[in-house]
Amino acid sequence: MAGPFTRRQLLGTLGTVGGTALAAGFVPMAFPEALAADTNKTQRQWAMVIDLRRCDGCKACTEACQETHHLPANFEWIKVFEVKDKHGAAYFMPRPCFQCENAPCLRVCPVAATYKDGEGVVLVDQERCIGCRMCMAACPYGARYFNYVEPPAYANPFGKATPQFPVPQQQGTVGKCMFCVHRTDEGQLPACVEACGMGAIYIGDLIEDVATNGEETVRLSTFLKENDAFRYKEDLGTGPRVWYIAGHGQLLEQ
Amino acid sequence: MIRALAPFVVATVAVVMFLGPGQVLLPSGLRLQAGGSITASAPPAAHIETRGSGLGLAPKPVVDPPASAARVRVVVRPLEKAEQGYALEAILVAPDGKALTNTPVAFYELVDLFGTREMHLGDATTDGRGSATLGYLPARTGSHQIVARSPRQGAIIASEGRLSFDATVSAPAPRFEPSALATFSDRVPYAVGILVLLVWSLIAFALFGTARGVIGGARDTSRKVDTA
Amino acid sequence: MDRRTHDRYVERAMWPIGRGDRNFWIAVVALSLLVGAGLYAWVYQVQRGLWVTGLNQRVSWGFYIINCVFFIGISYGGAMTSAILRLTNAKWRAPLTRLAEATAVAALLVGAVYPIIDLGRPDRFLNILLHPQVGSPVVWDVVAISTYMVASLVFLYLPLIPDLATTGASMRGGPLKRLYGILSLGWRGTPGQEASLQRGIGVMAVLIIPLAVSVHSVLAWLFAVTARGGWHSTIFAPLFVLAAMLSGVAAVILVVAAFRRVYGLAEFITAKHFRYLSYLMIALGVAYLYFMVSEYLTEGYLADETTAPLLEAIFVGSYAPAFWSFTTIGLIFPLVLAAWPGRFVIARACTASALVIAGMWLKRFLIVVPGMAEPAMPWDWGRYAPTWVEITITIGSAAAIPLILIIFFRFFPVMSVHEMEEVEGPPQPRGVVLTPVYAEGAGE
Repeated sequence: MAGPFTRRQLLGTLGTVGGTALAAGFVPMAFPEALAADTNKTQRQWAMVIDLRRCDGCKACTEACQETHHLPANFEWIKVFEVKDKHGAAYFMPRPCFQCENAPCLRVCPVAATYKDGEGVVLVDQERCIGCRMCMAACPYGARYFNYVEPPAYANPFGKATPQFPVPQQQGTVGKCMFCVHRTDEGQLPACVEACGMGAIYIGDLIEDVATNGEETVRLSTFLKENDAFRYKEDLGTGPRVWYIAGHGQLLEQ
Repeated sequence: MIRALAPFVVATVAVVMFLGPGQVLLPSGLRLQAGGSITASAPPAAHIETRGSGLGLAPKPVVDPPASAARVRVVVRPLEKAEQGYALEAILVAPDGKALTNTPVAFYELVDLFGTREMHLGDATTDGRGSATLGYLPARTGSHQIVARSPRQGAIIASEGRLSFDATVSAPAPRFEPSALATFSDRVPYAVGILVLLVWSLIAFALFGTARGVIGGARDTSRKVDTA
Repeated sequence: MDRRTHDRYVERAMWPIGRGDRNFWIAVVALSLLVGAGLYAWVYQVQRGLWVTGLNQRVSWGFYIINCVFFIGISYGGAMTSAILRLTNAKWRAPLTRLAEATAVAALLVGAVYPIIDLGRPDRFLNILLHPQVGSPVVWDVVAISTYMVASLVFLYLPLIPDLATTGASMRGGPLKRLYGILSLGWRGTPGQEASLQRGIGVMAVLIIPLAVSVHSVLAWLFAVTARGGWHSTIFAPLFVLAAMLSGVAAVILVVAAFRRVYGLAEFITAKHFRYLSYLMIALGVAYLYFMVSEYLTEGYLADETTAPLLEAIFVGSYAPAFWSFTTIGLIFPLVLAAWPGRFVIARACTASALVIAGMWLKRFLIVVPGMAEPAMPWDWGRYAPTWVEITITIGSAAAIPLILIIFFRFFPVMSVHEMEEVEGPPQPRGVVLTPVYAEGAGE
């Protein structure tokens, strides 16, 4: 049987290699476990509304977030931008993670370290993250932060850092705002909502159609409609879960 | 039917109030059965003084209403087009028994979001009969607790009325299903995976097939190099 | 080819095997020092974390991603030239294919390390295999690069089999002879063996082209699937493939010129080869220019709010010096230089190649860094300046390619003997002169 190989040999090789590769490679591929929704939680679908008419740019939200998550000063998971519009007028725009429905960061993660929990919040499993920063390239809102340096040590009261409360952050991995799920799970308002003295940030539930800034509680859909709320870069199709109510601090002057 | 019952209701409320504060707080009101007909209609009115912000966590009603408080009765009825939901109606009666006209009424729903909170549903003003109506399409079916509240009006202090009812009609639930394109895109990698396996097989075939052919050919003594 | 030319060809292809002269050791030591410095910088980075680089929250991809694209691009020329010349049965290819294939493998080995250097947690690299999410372009990259790497190695090895037998036969003994004996799989050149080998090489030559295309397409999609201005472009994959082929052919020209000089191959690798390779480079360069014009025209004409600031920065803003030097000195000038008729073909081809390679690196920089620096939230431009760590790793990795090639060609014939025999036929008895393919233009 010397000489060129036969078709049967070709098929045999194809079969063996194919079968082995299928068994070795595709079984884990088919079940990325982190994608499975966490079904134990109560049925909430978190959303946020930020009323720019009220924001005075004090950054209390950023500071509260950094305190809660023990973050260094340049980690602004909710970052307050000062925006100059076309007419030269300025306003402030806090930017948390938008927890996109169709999150680009989630799809590009090679190891499924980024996943959506049952309540629509995009979480990062820092135990799995390999630090490729593809998600940072993909996020159209710059909401993700990479831990270049070793984060400050902190004894996590939950025993160890979890995707819900990733404190302390792990060096070489990516972190971001996750609507303070460790607080909402306990029935507490997210730190930024609680800290905002202007009541500019509302946290809400799309299922119950309700949102609160801690003081006022509004019917979410009505509130958005009546105030012409918009979502940032909505045309990208990412489906952000954060709405803005446009303004230049009008409510501050009252 | 509801309007016909109104005098009885007012009387009942008065009796209940005199019977004691505990009775006032009993969860009661209209019950809407599956058929949509209103089977019971004894909504009690409660009176409170709004303390501080009336908009935060639901304030505990002060159940010792002064005589100068208005009576607020809240009723609900389905709209003609059932899919549009319900009409919430607050009927305000001044302490002197006359309808309280041209008075603003704010409607709230009690919700559980970081504690029990009053979700503002909307505002309405009472008409000549002391009735303020607000359209209401609940976000979900099931039990709902509605609070109607009118502010202080001159000598008449702020007061509120409550209603609990089962909704059978609700706004369409938000949808979170992936698009058809996403379902398609999810499958593409597997098709590509098969292609990748095919490529690996071809590489293996080229390598091992050639090796096999060369090794086999080396043992082949029947053919000589120079005679080929 | 007569017997004497044939023997001379074999002698030239084989003479450095197993030997190390002074120049060889100087080169190995010098390059090893550079590679060692790069390795030291990498270890320094692994111990401390990525903060030792110039990367930051806004510009989170920099030199490493540029180098990954760049070096894998270099490896293209090798694979593509070799495969295309084989498939089109270009007779002048015989002395070039081995150099081209080895360049491909060396550059690929270097380029494929970069994604790992870039990781924040290189220790978790295997997570990509343990928990792959098939929708991620990074996973596509890993699959495409590893497939292409295995294919390149096979494509280098298969044509080497007969030469290994020849090399082994020419040796007196020792472990090397045994190694060649094993690797050559008992090659004697029987018709059965010939047929097997030709089929294997044929399969790989056909396969290597779509594989090479797939690797750079996937690398392009790493950028193109995002919503960033200048990245989200449909032309990116073909643009990347062309860029890779262009820089790859330029690299092959440089490698061939260097080995021609050091190994004394001028007799067989002549000005004609450089002219042909230059033609290939010019064609690719013109095509690249066309693609680039098409890209910038369609994006700049509409100039939506994500691309307009980026194009502004590239054409007239802070990246303008880099962009215009790439376009003029790194692309148009070298193409004209290589295309100009006249003397000094080899010198001109080499100058043009060096400029093209530098230009293509700059172009990758212009893709990665401004695309990253342009803010996602449109109010703060990012800044990026590489640190000594990134620069040292870059230099070290660039030095690794010649080091790998120099060492490789001290163990394996630098020109394919078997392929020459295949193209030329068996050596003719003395006096019978066939078309002297390799002698033509030797004096140039």
